[in-house]
Amino acid sequence: MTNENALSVQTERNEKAVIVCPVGRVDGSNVGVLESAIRELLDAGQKTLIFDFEELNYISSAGLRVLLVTARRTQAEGGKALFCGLAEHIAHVFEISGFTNILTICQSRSEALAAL
Amino acid sequence: MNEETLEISLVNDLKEIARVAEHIDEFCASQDIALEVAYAINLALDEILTNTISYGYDDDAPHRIEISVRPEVEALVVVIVDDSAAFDLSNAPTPDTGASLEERPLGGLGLFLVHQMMDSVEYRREGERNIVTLKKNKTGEQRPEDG
Repeated sequence: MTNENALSVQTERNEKAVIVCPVGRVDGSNVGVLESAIRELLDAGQKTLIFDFEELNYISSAGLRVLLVTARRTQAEGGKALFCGLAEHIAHVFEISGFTNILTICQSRSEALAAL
Repeated sequence: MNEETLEISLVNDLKEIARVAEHIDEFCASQDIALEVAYAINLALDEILTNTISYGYDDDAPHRIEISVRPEVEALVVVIVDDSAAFDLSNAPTPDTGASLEERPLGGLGLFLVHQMMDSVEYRREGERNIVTLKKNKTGEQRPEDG
């Protein structure tokens, strides 16, 4: 379980979008890592982001807030944020939070790419 | 089953939250507690500790926070004791989870999640200390046998 509690953010460029893959856990102590990775992409003019949560073990409300802000900003700038690869427990938190109604959630990365 | 109590002592630093999660995960695995129950407890503890550590102290001194986790027959009982400012989290307001993306308020989600994830949330103040008691039923699916 080494590094299970750390967070790194990997990004992959696709012709349609940038895919953002947080690896590890997002909580109040490290949410800035995710926030600045996203800001960098959006500030560089990227409008469409796909968040692939395949390697995300855990997210708290601090992380959820960043996702909400990101979805708002991409929408306001004429782009989109999509979310895929949610583990069951994370999908449950999205549901409780009402995020399933306001965010675009896909089963897989290929489904998210196809939705663009 | 070994009915031991887990005790964790931490200082008021957000970095401690990941360490708490490690202890909870290990303890729940040793007690054969379902993963979803462990996840719920980690999330509730994280949200409460983040609030306490971020807003509960008006000095720069280090403060101790004590957590205990006690398995009962049907539930896990988590007690958090700290000396931060009095804050009754037993009645958290419900954010508008039906609001649109543009109108959805950004705050208020943390304590809402605590109440949603736990089966009971109680608060009391004793002298200079806050005592928060959480209960989570152990009704999750059994974890798969480890290989």
